[in-house]
Amino acid sequence: MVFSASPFIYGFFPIVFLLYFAWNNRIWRNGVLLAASLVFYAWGEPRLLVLMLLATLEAYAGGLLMERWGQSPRRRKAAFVVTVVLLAGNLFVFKYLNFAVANLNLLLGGRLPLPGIVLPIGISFYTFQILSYVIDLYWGKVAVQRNYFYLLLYVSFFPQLIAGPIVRYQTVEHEIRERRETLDDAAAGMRRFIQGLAKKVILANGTAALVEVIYKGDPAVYGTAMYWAAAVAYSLQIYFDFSGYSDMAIGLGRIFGFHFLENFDHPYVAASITDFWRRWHISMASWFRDYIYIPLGGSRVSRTRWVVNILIVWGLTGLWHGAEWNYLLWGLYNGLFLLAERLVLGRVLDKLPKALCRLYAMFFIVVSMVVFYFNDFGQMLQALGQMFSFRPTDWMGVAAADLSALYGLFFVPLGLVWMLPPPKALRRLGESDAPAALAANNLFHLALAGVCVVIIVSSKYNPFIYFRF
Amino acid sequence: MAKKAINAVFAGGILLLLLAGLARTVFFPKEINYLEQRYAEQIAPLTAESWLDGSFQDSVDKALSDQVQLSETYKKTYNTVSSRFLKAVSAPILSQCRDRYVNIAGTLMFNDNIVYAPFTLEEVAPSLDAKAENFNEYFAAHQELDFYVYYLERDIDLDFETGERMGAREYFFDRLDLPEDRTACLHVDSFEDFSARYLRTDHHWNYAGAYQGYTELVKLLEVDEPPLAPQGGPVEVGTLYGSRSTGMTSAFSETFYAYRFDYPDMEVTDNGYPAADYGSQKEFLSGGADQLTYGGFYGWDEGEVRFDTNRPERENLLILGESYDNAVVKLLASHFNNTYAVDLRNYEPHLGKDFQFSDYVEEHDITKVLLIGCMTYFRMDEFTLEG
Repeated sequence: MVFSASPFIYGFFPIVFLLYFAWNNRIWRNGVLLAASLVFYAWGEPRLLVLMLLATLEAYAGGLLMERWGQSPRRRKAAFVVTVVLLAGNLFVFKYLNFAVANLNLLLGGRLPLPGIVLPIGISFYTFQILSYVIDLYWGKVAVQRNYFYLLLYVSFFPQLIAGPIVRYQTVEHEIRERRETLDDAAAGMRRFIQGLAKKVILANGTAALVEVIYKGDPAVYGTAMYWAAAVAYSLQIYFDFSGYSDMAIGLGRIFGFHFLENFDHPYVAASITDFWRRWHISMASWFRDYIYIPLGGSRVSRTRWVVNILIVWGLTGLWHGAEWNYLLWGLYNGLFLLAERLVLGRVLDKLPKALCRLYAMFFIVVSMVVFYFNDFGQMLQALGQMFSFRPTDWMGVAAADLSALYGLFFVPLGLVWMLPPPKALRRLGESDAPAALAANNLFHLALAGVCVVIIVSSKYNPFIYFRF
Repeated sequence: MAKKAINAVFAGGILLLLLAGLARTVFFPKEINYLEQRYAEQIAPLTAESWLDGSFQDSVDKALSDQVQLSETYKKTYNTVSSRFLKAVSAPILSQCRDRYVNIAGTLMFNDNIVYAPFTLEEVAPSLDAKAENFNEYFAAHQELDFYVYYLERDIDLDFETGERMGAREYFFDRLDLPEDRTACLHVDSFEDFSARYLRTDHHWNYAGAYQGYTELVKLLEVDEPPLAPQGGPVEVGTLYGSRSTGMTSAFSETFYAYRFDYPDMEVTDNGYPAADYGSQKEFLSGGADQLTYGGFYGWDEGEVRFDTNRPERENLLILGESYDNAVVKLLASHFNNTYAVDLRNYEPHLGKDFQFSDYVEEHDITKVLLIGCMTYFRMDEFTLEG
């Protein structure tokens, strides 16, 4: 089930809301959330629900064993390693085995049959959440969860289940047992949800129209300008798609009394690639930093080892997005920029005006998104070639090839404005508790929700990009 | 306190609106989607199987889109806004793109017409071969009958940009075991030919094309009387949003014209039931009908329509066709005793029995059989003769 589809908006959400607030007891309220989360997942993946239940069970049992063997470091470590290997193995089998076998066949000329395993929705997200619990437990940062259903609620909680943000157990550990739901939080959560919905339904889907037309059209028709327009449009699409989902998740969490950490902070105003990664998919970047980069030694190692660490982390970051070579390349591309900025470029950027730094970052981010988009290297090189070797655009030809490209073009400037941090006055108005400001704010969100509902009911195109991760 | 009240109205209002949509869908679903002229989607029964195969979930999604309050208004608004926007931005481009195909989200335009892309002969030859073989079997088996084939050339038969003909009609006629004078076609050799004979926003022919077809059919069928003449020139019936005017192109419309005819008296039977008329030409021409469509005006694709002029001295005609013949069957029926217009796609669904050709012609004392349609009719399996 997706947040931007009628079954969620008209069915799932109001029913869960009513059932949840019908109880005044924490246990029952958690029960409602858990049952709802399982239905939410089973709506799209009824058979693969078992996999999530088992993965949670592995973490639960591993946690109990680690606690039981607390006095024996070797046994405790063994329990930890086995749990992590099982969870990572699970992710490998379901996400990467097809890819590994296909490439082994290619490399060794073998004929191993492809397993044809279906990728379960959200497996990368929930596996990383479970791993964060297991690792934090091993490090002594969180207490063991003795109630399987509470652990399952953490893993399966529907707002963040299938497309993040990657919520750490320690963020919600306390709120699972004790939290306070208020009317103001519910209203604020709804407003946040509507903002996310609008990002997805209006901007992500709107810019997607341009991307689809150009990247799936005849390359001979489109010149350099249109390929740059498509790259910018895709950068906007993926941002509004994913940050919109995060907004909706954070808003839904807040309605039910949970406070998730922010996942995006206006990434396209970043002044460097390093800065971009402090603002983009923060929960994933910090996950890799805390659970891979730092355990590898971080930057407190030799220069060579540090370079290797960065490349390992960014290679894995790329592969986390999908079992395709372009994702690996995209991760390494980002890793190399981070290295270059730390070693050389950073000093140059420090001396440049902020606007130039932002332009630099935006330019290389947009190029990276082209790498991210194309699984097929031939098409990727062709698109990059179109962008970097000037070819005039036959505008009439563009219009003739698919006039709906114009429809997509309309949303690009809108997206470019919306991606910027709002002006202070507007932000203050949005945060104001004054009755008139609050009423105006609510009315604006109601109107925005109305526009979204009209689009959702009328059109069927709204798959989330981050689902496949 | 004021803050709480404002937030309560906001959150409660949203919740109530959503619950009202759900309640309407589950407990009080409507049967017809009038905007899209079809049955409205309903929620399928929930079973383990329907959940596992996803059909229940799909049905909920579709049902909500059809059933929630104001859903038709939402869709109409959305289509109007998006298509008006597209029309506004496309107008200058379309005027610059004369004599070339323009693609609008999968819908093709050529000048002011919404059109289909031409097929290549390689694409269509196998299915035309199969249909010709099927027809030839019946020509051979029923030598007592006079068979006629009328082919409507249209946008799919030639490339308007290059003027290249696909040659499907010639290819098909070459394979028919019929004398040359038993076949004819509505000849379209250029975009000008096409736009003069076909509607701009609909895939069907217009009043001029249909009348030309009728006069050619009168000749083809060796009717020994002149065709009915229209009473005066074409009459403006109303604004038509044709079959191709949907989604992004729904802002495109045209003025629908028709000829007025003085039809002879005839009894009409629609799928076995007596009917006042076939189509609503009189009502539309007198301004007493709305929701103008090609089918609404001329008549829908019924399994079987029978026209009886009660002139036993004349022959009985069987017309096996598709929607194109809707515009001419009543005209043709004026020249025969009994005329049976059968649409093989709908015969079994509407009459509850299979169409058996040999039994049918014998039972209804048919002497002439007209096979009429455009390229798709001569390709589609649904129009294969059986029995």
